[in-house]
This record gives sequence, C-alpha cells and structure tokens, in this order.
Amino acid sequence: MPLSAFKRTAKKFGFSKHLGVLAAVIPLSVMPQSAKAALSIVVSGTVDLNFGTMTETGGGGTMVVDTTGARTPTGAVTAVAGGGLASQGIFSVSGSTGLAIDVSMTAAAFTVSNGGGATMVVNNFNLVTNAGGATRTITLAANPSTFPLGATLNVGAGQAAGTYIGNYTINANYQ
Amino acid sequence: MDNTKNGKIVSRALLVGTALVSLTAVPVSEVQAASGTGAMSAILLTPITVSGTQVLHFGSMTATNTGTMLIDTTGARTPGGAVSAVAGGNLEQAGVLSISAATGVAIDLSMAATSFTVTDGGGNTMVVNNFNLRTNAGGTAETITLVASPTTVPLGATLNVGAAQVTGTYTGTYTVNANYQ
Repeated sequence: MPLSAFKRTAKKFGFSKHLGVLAAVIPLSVMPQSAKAALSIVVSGTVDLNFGTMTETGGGGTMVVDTTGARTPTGAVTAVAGGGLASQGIFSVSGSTGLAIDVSMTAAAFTVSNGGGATMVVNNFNLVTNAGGATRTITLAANPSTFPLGATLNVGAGQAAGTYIGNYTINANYQ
Repeated sequence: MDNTKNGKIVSRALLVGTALVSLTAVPVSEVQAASGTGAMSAILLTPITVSGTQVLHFGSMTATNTGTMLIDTTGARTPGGAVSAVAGGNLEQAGVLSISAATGVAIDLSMAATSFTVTDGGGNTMVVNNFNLRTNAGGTAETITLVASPTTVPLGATLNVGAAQVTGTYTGTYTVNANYQ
C-alpha cells in the first residue's frame, strides 16, 4: 500500500496523529525488566564513625565501636567521655527498594591520620550488625535507607596524641 | 503534499529511534556499581600523669594535748587546740602536685581517700584529713582544665595530733586521682 493510502486508511480510524507514539510504546514493552526497575545506587556516609576521646598509656590497644555506638577499649587504651563524641558510622544507600544489594568495604583496613605523619589503622568493619562483617547483602525498605557500621581502631604503643581523621569507602551493587 | 507528509513520517520515525536509543542506554548506566565514602575520627589524649613535686609539710610543733595543725594551699599554717607551731627550720609548706595532660580538656582531680596517715616508723600515727585541692575552698575533689602542661596545683590539709602524741618525725603519702571528664 502506498504511504499516502495507508495514512488515509489510518486517518479513518483516528490513528494518524498517534503513529509515532504507538511506535515508541511498543519497543518499551520488550525492554528487560531489570533495566526498567533499577534506580542508580548512591552510597554516602552521613554520620562519622567516631571513636571518641581516649588515652593510651604505653602498651597499645584498641577501641571498638559497635554498630549501636557502644565502645569498648582494650589493652592500654582507656575511654574518655570527652564530650560524648563517640558514635557508630551511619551510611545512606539510595536505590530501588526491594532489590538485593551487595554492600562491601572496598578494603579490609583504612587509616586515620593526625595530619602530622602519625596514623592508626581501622579494621574489623561490621556492616549493619555486629556480626555483619565487611560484606553484607541489604534490601532497601525505603529509598534512601540508612545503615550503621562499626569498626576497631588500633592504637599503637606510644601513639602520638592528636585528632585523627580519615575516610572509608563502601561499594554497592545490585545482585 | 504527499512528499511533505512523507517527510513528517520520516521525522517522527527518527524521533522514535532517538527515544529508543536513550531509553535503552540510561538503565544500563543506572545499574552500575556505586561507591561512597564516610568519615572516621578519633581523639587520642596524652595520658595524665600526676606527681607530688613538693612535700606537704606541717613543719615543727609541740602539743600539750589534742590539737591540729592546718596547712593551707598558700603554705600558711594555723595551729589549733593544744598544738603550738615551732619555727624549727621553717620546713612547713603546702603540697604541690604537677599534672601533665592534654590542655583544654576538663580533668577531675580527687583525693583517693578522705584521710591518710603519717607514721613515725615506731607504730605511732597521726591522721591527715580535710584536704583542699588548688584553693582553700577546693575540698577533696576539683575540676581543672590545663592551659599549659605541666601545671602545678597546690594542696593543703589538716594534721590531727593526739592527746599524748609520741614525739618524732612522721611521714606518709597521699594519693590523688586524675581523670579526663
């Protein structure tokens, strides 16, 4: 059928102005379900993982902050209230709800530094729960959702006093 | 006219094609992995050390009966009851503590007990109590914040002399606790 004849026929049924729309809608229906559903994932730390204030009296030790924010010193490390700064870390994940997402620390250990060359290692990360470990599968109930994390700060014997800061990185992927 | 209409159809088809390309491309990029960073922090304070750098000395005295000898935080002494001060080399002085710690952080100082004893080494003792830390109104617990480290803090106390206290040289130690708040 010549195009002009096709359009005349189509116009009888009121389709001529909607041909383009119909053509666009049909291919959408064959797109993969997963591609339609997934929103891009965004991960960001919203509350600092803060080990608070402490002292170390010579033998070295650790300070554990769990996912509830409770902290436990070991060895020669003693917790000092110091303004009540200690807190578990909180990270926010944005993405599609109801889909399994793998979150994982990008490394087993990160460092904090006092800016003067002294560092401390932070390891034994626990994501979401105290038994969570460094890799965890989550499902967002809401977008965004927040999750806690805890870790262990390793304080050396004779560690230089100061304020230590650093960053950790989390990866997130749909399963 | 047909050519014109034909041209419109072609342009619509192009638009559809363009839309399809973008529709299929966007979800692919959205599914890509994401990573994010969070901050960590910790404050490590210099451990507190407290040491007595000057002996709390009640000096020389006599007693005809029960009495007391008070040394205040300036080193001035005041006998009470049946006790009389004797110059005896003018050894009396307030005690002085040296405290090393982080500056700018509140520190609680407190006597580890309300009273301590001094002894002559022969079984005779006297009780020292009513400690005052830093000032004569300081009492046995005081909160300080160091501006410099180390900082010295004076202390005074009261020596209690018995009714028939044996003469001699009495010595002893006291203990002060210090903790960051």
